[in-house]
Amino acid sequence: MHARTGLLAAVALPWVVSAALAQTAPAADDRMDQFEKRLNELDQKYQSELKNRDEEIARLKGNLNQRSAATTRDAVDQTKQDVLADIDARTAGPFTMRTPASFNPSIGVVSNFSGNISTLNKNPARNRFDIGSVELDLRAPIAPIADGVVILPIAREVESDLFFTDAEDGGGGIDEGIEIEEAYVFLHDFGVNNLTAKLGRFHLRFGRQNILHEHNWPTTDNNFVNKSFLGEEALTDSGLSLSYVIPPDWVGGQYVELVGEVVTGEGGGETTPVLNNDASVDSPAVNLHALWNTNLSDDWNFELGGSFLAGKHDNSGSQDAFLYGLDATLVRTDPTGGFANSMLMFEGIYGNVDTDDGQTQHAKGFYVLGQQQLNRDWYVGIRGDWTQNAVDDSQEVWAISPYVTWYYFEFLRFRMQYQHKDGDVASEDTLYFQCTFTFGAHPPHPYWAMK
Amino acid sequence: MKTLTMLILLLVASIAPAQLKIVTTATDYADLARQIGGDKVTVQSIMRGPENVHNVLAGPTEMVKLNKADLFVHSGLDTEPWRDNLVRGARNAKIVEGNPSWVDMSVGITLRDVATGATDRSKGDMHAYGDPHFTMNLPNGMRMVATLTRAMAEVDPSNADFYRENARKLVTEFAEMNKELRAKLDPLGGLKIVTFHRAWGYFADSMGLSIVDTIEPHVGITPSPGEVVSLIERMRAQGVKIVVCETYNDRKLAQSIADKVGAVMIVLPDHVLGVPEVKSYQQLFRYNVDKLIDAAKAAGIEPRSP
Repeated sequence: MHARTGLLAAVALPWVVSAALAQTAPAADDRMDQFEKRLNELDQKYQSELKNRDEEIARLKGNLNQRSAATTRDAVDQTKQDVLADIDARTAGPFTMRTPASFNPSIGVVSNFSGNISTLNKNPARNRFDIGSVELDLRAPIAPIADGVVILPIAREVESDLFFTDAEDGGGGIDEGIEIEEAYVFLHDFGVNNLTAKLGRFHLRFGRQNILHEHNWPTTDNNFVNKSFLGEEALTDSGLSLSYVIPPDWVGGQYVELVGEVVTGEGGGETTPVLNNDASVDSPAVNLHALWNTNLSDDWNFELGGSFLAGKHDNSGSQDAFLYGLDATLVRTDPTGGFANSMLMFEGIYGNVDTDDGQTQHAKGFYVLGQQQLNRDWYVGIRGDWTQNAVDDSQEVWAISPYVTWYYFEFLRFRMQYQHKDGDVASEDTLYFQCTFTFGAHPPHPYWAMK
Repeated sequence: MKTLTMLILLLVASIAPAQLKIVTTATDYADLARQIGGDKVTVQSIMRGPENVHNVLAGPTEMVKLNKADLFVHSGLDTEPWRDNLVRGARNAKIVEGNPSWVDMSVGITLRDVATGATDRSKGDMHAYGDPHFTMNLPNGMRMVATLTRAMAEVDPSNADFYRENARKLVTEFAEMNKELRAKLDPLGGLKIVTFHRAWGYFADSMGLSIVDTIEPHVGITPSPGEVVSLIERMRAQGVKIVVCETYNDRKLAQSIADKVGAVMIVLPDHVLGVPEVKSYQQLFRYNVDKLIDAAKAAGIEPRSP
């Protein structure tokens, strides 16, 4: 019985399974069809919705543009009405005051990190890297007719002797300290047309570069002729400086400036090679400077200057010092409006300086500097120096100094300069590096600094 | 007889009304002054046109121009960092702040990008008072006309009506021109551009342009190679097809960036006389709008139907 049942089951199973399968397959196909149909419907629905949404977005964008244009048109019309009313109002417009009233001075800090690698190890000013100086620049109007200016450099440097020889020993420590480089009142309007004055301590208007502060030089070091005759950085002194611009109508529309200065004659003290009298008033020095500036064409500007300085070389007042200077600057402005500006500069000084040995030194010297701006940030240039020692005309030195300057931007500058120096001094090859960084307010550079 | 003729001529010359002497920092102000003042004024601009207004090499010969000026017209902002040297050297007591001869053209203009928070150089050579390139906008031009006219009328009241009449015509012309130029650009639907310097914000505002980015990552600072690569990626992502380089900036760099994203680079003046064809304030806008439309066409940007 069991065997028969098993046999029946064995026979029936394939039939049952196939029958069941036969019944299941059409049902699954139907469901798949329904599913596919549903998917298609959903897809169509979503596509339709997306299309409608895109059309709606496009419509809204169109509206927005039209509304924006309409708003602009309305605003323009409103401005027009306002402005026409302003024009007809016949009353003076209000002056704007954008900064809060302040009696604090503008404060700028200019720092010079500089160094050099040199073949002349004996010179203590060589093979050094340090902050050469930090300059504190304070200025503010102090009266309707006058501004105040105070420049306080904090130095940290080893003095570099221009006429250093192999025979000298190393010596030379680091000079540290704060000094008053400039402190003067600038009277820009005291009732005489075209006349201005400085009273206090200032850079003398002798030649071109003497008025500059160290960070404004086009090169890392000062030119040799100024170093030899005027001072390590510049010739400064205390006194009165008057500057008069001849009314342009009298001189054919030209710029002609006359400068007269009376100073104590002390100069910068021991660091000044020629003018190092004491600060007493019995032996003042007089400096005269005249300059003429003209446009040779739309793109070329030329400036010619002459200087004369008379003072005393010693404290006793028995040694006379006379310096005669000539300077010329040619600047070409890029006519395309780009930054390819060029500059050629010359300065020469001739001196008659009485010295301790009872003799009069007739020294002379000059430099020529050419600079080309490559683009907004890069400058290349070369300076050639030749000068005699202002207080020993038997000694001379010359150098050639190519350099490259890169401004990250106006307030962060890097410079490299190579210098070969020779003559009646220890021959040396030096690579200078300089990083100048400025923060705070800072007055604009002179136009020929091309920045 | 000759002497008598000469004397009469000299007498006539001395009786003839003197022209108002106007010196401006930028060429745009100079052109507006000429259009308002006509033959009643002589106008000189310190800037020549194609150069960067921030970097003008203004020296003693420019001080000569200012020495006898009746009006000194300038941005009033820190647009012209060379201005103080110039004014100091000019020795003209009239042109001091507060006097009618000191004409601050930013009066009445709503400045863009006014600094909020700390103002320091970490943002580059930033402008302390806001974006100073406000001349590139015709509604601002209308305001400038009003400011200049007021000053001219105050210093030279005998010709005030003449100045006001010309000013009214100019303002009406600027308003119509703004609508006309905007209508020309609108079909390009907020045209996306990248500019070299941040000098076009006011222009974009009035003309419906979209400035996606600037080549200078910070104002006045040349981009590093990494910053250029990053800019190119952003331009690709945003689909920018037009690069605008000002007349004074690095065209090679602008062109190379445009080439890398398949964009069109155009050089546009941001001041009158920036290019020789742009001799007036009105031409400045017409020229730039036409160039942008040409560039959009060359870049394959289809105008949308209204």
